[in-house]
Amino acid sequence: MKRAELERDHSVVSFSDADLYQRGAETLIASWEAYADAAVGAAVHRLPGVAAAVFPNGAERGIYNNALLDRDLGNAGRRRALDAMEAAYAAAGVTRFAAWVHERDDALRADVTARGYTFDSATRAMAMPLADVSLPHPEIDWVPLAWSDYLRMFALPQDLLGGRGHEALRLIAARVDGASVAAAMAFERNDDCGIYNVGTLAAFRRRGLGTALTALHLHDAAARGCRTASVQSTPMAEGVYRAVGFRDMGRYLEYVPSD
Amino acid sequence: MAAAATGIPDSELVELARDGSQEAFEALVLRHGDRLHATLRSFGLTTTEADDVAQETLLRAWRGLAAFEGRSGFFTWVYRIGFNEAQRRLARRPPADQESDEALERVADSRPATHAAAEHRELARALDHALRRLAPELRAPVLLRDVEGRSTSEAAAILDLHPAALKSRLHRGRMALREQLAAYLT
Repeated sequence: MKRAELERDHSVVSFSDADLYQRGAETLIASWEAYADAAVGAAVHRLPGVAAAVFPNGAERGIYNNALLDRDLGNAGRRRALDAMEAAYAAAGVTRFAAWVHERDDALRADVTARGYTFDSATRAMAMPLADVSLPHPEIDWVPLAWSDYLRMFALPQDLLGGRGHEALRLIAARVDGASVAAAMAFERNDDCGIYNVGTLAAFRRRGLGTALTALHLHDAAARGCRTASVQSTPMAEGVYRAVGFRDMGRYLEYVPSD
Repeated sequence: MAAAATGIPDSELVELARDGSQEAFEALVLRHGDRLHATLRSFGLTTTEADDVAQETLLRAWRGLAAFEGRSGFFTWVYRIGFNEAQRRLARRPPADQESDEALERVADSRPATHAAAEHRELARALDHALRRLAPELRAPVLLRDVEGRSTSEAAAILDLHPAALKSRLHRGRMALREQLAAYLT
């Protein structure tokens, strides 16, 4: 088959790392918008150079106030983005939030540090074309999971996102002896499947349940026509995602304003 | 062995200890014992309490070496055991207004040299009281994040919490602290 014919087939369209990164970032921001839809008084402000998720109320205030800054802006662009981000949070009376900066954007890192922000945490952005999934469809006992059960499972506030979540958040759970012991969330946008909040109860770790749920989401997303997938991985989970086929897109460094 | 352990990485000492070498474990204790004790003190334990909890922590570590998977450093693993032991000990304490003699002596002995120093000490004491009044599930995130300076993912791993649950409890803990310390913050 010639390359042109191959590329007409969705499953073999090649994606550059830059494409994958951008698609993952857009899905992430869209997932924040879904959270905001379900929360009182919340919104995601798409401002020049930054998307700021502003959650001024309730249980969400301590969890979802995050802003993703664009990469490789010029001097003026960085200043404008940081000013806009700070203004958005100040207008909502939110003093604690996390500014997400890509680790390879040295100029932006220097700017946020100069403004008194301190490094707090990091997650690794990872992404992949779904044609690269290396695991077979897993044979596990799984069920769709209600938002309220997800909250209970991981000791989250019962009123988070109104206690109902959002219909666009696909939650599934792996079961052992009939009990839900691991969960994973998926959210799709523009044929990219973001997989978030993969977690397993302590007594059931090291059984591959998180990996199996991730693979399940990937296969189902591909069946629905998605072409790529993205995750934000903690350091402990990076090896698992690499094994599944995810590529490293670099870390998001989370900076918080100093007290 | 303990003296000869200088330069041997923790991972090798852990392997030897797993194979039953008490000397290797003693070398690990010598290497990390003081740091563990200082950490326990920073959680608000008295010297005597920290002595007891450090001993209990190291005993648990020795018994649990087989379960240590090496996904974190040895000290991080011991830290997690120690942190949870310290929280258990703090939860058994009498109510916050009945300070231990040692804590009172610490305050009395540290006479302020200046007015500013006195204010600082008063605030520190108020903060200590406020922390102790927090429910344990809120105090632990505040201690790890704001006193110890751990990252969200580290604190969540230590407490075995979902990162969002950690953030939620941290927020509630900070709000409760702010309320208790309102008189000092205005």
